[in-house]
Amino acid sequence: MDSLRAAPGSSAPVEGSTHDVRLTIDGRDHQITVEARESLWETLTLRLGQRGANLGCDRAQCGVCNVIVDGRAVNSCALLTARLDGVSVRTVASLAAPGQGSEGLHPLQRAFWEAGAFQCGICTKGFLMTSLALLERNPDPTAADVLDAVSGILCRCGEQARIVQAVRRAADVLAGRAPTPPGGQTLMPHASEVLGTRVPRIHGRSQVTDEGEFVSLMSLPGQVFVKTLRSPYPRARILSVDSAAAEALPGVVRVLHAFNLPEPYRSITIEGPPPRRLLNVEVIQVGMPVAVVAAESEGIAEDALALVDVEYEALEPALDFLAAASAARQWDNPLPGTIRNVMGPIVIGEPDRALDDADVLVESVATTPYEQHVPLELRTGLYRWDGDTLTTWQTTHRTFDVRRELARWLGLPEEQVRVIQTGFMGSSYGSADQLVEELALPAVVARLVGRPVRSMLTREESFLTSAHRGRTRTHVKLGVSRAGDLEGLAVDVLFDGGTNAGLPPSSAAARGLTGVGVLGGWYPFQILYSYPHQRYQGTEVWTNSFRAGPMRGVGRHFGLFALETAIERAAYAVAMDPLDFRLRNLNETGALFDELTGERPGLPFGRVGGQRQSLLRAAELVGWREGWHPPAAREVRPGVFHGMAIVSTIDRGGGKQGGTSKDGLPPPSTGQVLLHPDGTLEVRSGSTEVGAGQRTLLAMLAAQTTGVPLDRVQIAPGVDTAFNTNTGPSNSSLQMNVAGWAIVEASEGVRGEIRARAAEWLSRTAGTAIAPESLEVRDGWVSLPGSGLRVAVDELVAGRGAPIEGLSDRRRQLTVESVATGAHAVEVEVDTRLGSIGIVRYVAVHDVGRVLNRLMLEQQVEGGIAMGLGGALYEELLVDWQTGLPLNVSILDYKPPSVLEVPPIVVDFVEVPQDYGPYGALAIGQASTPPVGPVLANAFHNATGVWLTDLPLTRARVLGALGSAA
Amino acid sequence: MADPVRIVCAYPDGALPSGWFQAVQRARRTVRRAGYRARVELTPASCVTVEADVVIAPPVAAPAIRASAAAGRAERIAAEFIVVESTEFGAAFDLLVGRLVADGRLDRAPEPPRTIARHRGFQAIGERARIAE
Amino acid sequence: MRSFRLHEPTSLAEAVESLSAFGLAGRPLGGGTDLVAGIMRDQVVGSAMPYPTDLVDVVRLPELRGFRATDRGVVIGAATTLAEIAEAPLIRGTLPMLADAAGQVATPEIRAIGTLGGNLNQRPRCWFFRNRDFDCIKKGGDICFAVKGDNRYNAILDANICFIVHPSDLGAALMALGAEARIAGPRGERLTSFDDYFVGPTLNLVGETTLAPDELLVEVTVPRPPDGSRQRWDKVNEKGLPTWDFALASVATLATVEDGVWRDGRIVLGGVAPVPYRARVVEAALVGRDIVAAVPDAMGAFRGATRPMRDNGWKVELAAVVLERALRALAGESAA
Repeated sequence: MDSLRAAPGSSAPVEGSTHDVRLTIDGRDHQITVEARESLWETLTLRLGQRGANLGCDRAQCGVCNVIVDGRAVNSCALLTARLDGVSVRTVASLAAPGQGSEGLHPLQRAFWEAGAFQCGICTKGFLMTSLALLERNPDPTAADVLDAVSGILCRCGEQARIVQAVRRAADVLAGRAPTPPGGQTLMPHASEVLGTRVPRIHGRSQVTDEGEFVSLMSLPGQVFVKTLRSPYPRARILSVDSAAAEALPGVVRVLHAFNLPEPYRSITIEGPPPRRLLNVEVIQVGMPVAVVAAESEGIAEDALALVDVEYEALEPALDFLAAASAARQWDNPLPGTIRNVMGPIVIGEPDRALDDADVLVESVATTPYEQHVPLELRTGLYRWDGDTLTTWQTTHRTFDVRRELARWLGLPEEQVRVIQTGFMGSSYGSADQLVEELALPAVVARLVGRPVRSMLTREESFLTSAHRGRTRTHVKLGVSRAGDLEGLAVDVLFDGGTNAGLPPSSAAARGLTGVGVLGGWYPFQILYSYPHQRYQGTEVWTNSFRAGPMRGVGRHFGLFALETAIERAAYAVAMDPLDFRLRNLNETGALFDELTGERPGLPFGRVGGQRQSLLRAAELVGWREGWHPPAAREVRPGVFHGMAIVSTIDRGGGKQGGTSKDGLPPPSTGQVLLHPDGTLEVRSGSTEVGAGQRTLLAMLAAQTTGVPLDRVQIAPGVDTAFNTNTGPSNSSLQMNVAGWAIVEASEGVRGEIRARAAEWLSRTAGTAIAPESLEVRDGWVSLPGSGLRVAVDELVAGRGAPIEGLSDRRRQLTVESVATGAHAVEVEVDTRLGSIGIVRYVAVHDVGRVLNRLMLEQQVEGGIAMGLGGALYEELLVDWQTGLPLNVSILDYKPPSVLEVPPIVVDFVEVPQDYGPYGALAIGQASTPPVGPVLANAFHNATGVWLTDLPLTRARVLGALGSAA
Repeated sequence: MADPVRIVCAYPDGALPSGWFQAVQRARRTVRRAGYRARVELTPASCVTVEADVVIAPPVAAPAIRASAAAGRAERIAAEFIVVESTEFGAAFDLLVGRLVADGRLDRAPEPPRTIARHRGFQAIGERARIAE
Repeated sequence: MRSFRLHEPTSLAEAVESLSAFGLAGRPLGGGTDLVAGIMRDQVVGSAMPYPTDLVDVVRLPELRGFRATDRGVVIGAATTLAEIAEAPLIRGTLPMLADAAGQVATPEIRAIGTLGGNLNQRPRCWFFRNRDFDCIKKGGDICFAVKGDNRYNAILDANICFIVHPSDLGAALMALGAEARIAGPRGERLTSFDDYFVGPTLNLVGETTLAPDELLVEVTVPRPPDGSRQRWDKVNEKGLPTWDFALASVATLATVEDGVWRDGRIVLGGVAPVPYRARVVEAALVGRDIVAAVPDAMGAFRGATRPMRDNGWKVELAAVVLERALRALAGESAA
């Protein structure tokens, strides 16, 4: 009888109407016939194959897809093409004239590129077109005008302030208030001594035009589209699936589910325990795939999904990680595997006695929520089989890992899987780290239907399927002497690892997953301050809520939040200036312990001066000595209180753990550098660009090392496993070290040959033997210092048949810890009535060893802070505990900060060169994200006298805390 | 075993007053507490197009349902069509239940497990499964 | 997205006829920023609101376009965009509160295509309603998940059974301005005061307005505000500035104030109740009194009317602050 009843809203699809439309796109007339449901973005991208508009949410919530229609910027995802008869559409493709480098670029494009108004570039087209519409109406906008005009567009890389600057600079050029900058082949300098300077993105032209190949804009001839029906239960057994009605729908090519997926695919185990297959009979989290439809269009696939009947038996889930962590409430997990992963205790000295004996005992409990990266490109994969070889285009930062895992799952040798990462990716921030069924299912569909597949996740699916920051609760005890010395520390972390918790170290820790979530939280405690007596313990809890994974670092954010809020309490408890208290207790002995064994003295690290210098510099920039005051002492307007705080920060950028391959060895470190007979230097590297500028940096290292000017250096934007060599994944600045050293080494090989040839050439010219080692290569010339003897590098290769080749191939033992420290300081105004925290000034100082590209480094810091700000003030992924369903899986409800909320940030660097990365650099990693939460919470305390130890600091929390304190 | 008795409580399209909703909720509780094998559903008038044993509707929705039946969209609008105001709903429902029991059309049976549910696409057919009993 | 049919009627009569024919599965289509990009893409459906298979495009109907001054006041067609309302000198000049409210809705992109009718008739933002996996009462189910679930953003007053807050900024503004709606339907046209345009859960759990599924909002008439009256629009959302997001609390006021004394006026709160809330209890505490002196009584009256849920007591405090600031500003402006 049930089957006779219509599910509400699941009526059979109607035959949609079609409409003849004439419209002008970028000056060209089009006459097309479209279905009513086709959006303008779909028309541009899927029907016409253009790349003039990116897509971020498909819900009119992010502005990434903005184009100009009849003079106004609008969301192209929200417009139905059928209604656009007679209109004129302009996309970014209309902006630039053909050319190379900066040739032919519109002043807006040029300004965005030069100012670093983007990193990954997924939002850039939306900002450009929206700004253009503004400038056409208002040629001389104020900063406020620009902010208002672009307030509907999100940038997740944190370049809000630079965007406003770039628009105003372009306005000045367009209005003749500023000179038109010279055009040219490239914005890259004609110089080889480029390290330490500001160099914009080497492929920036492709990001400000429609040239960049974002996978979400690409199609394959003959492709089918896949859409996935997902579990609405956190844990359930699928009793039956009836896909007959869906299969009967015209345009549906195939429907797959756990009961009809053929072998060998049915038995593929993605990971575990518990075993996780491509399509599971028992689902263990909301959003796991239940059925997959392949169809001739996305719309048909969605119509078909609405016809698939699934019978579920809901099983009791583990949702409350605090309850699940207590032995008394352990969930009876019938699946193999663990539900708790207890780490430690690691005990150094006698912490219990030290805490008992301390003059003052400070205790605090800090919590952090589930958070999500919200990378603005919708994760997309294209899949094509040629015989038994799979070629796939992926939005990933783990190009070679994707190849390895796909080959393993599909039972193919790695040579038969080719993975292409185009170099244009609406970034990751860690979200693309998880290599799961989402990656493999479309490959299997493509195999079974014998056609290429395009798979693009929705924004909601992106929230559901990618990794999250797990929830945490960290209990900290600090013992302090009246004189202000830290005597003892006890840390106890509870970490909600979701369905990733307890994965064996071979899979979890090795991939930077939650096995190190707890340990990642310990890390700031271990390193930043010194305490004679310490105890660490942690419990990672398995729950049916999402899957925890890296997000701008692993565990640092909650560890630093718990540490720095506790340190702040300790300083106030002994009535010391919080800056002085920190300086007094800095850990400058340079030793730490190994988290897994507790052995001491652990790995040496040399970050002694940098941390102290960072704190002092940040204090100076924020005006600490003049501005700091006791709590709740400065009411600037009725109900509005001034507050200040300063905290330390740390990350292990590109360190030992992030750099360990699945086989437990360090990642291969490879690269090739070729000096071609035409004088161009080609850099080849498998280091994946995710938007942070990895490829630009490699080109700079090659220029600096070989002496070939940067404008003669070429590097392809993308990575293709068929042509590049594996050099590890791009996470936490690992590539600065791994690929960076490889390119330096390969470049040294080239430089050696350049010198050898030059020595021969100059010896002939001078008539005397000149040793190659005595020669200097710089800006394209080889010279003998002090002699006036020189020869152009071009001369040395011209007319030769083969390039000069340098290469590097080794596994670089990363025995040295790369510890990137810094300090953030903030000045806030807290409106105690509206419950808001307004940032007056934000200062970030980071010790980076040596600055290699100041522009990109500032961008990395800004991006980390923008995301940290979201997490500190607004972002929190909420779950309904009655059903286990997420509540706010949309951009509107999740509330990432927009241009309106990210203030300009003062960024500075401390340079204490280190023997770690190339040219004394340290990998900065994600050191700029974690301090935002604690520095704001501490400033809130300074302003109001009230402690906040639960993130985010929403109006509800602020008003709640102030209300109960009153 | 025969199918449960289906009692469809209709309301005018797009307009469900809280009084009618609460009356239907009370009826559901009555059925559940007594363990009757009956399902009480709440449906917009124009969607009363499927098999139902009894249809209950307020006077304001009755013409639409009759028209719909006349137009053949609800040809199987069933044996019983009760028209009441929400204030009279409770009494009318009790009478109905009494009559159905007396006629042997309504019996008692253990409730099926509430942890099992069928979904079509993204929608549960009927109630969502409870994740814990 | 799932398939549907788009109808492009050329007259109001034809549009109404279409809506009548399609019943619950037919919806008038304005800018589509909520209906298409929200409700339909997210498949927010249920027995009370089946997937809309037939959309009736109303933005090109001449009766719904543009705005004009008449002797009854300013008449604004339902298909007028929010950007037009925010920018039009006619509206900004005489109805600055309405222009401010329109200018703070969502984002510039949405204001460029979103319409007056769409803003007034948009569906609520309650996350249980918006998430397709919760079959809540408003969609035709039998549970309000907000009662036991996370209700931090839900209603703090005037709610029962269903605890949404109404998302329309312009609804609050028009109610305060004493506007009137012209509605077309198969039985002809009717006029409704905005005091009666929105309908709370007691009268209707599955809709928020007086519009029947086969009716269409044609235009809104805003009467000329009384001479010497003052208007204010105040809005607070979760993040910093009042745009981008929906109001946590908004206050629309139209008041005649003399020497700091509240003579007459209307106060409407948005974002706090299932429909824009006419704060008559606050008005009563103010009338005939010096505003500053009456503020404590007015705030007491407001708090007394609230019934916060488990997680949203803070919204009472927030709304009270916004309301108090609006009142004090009105008093200050008057004195200045």
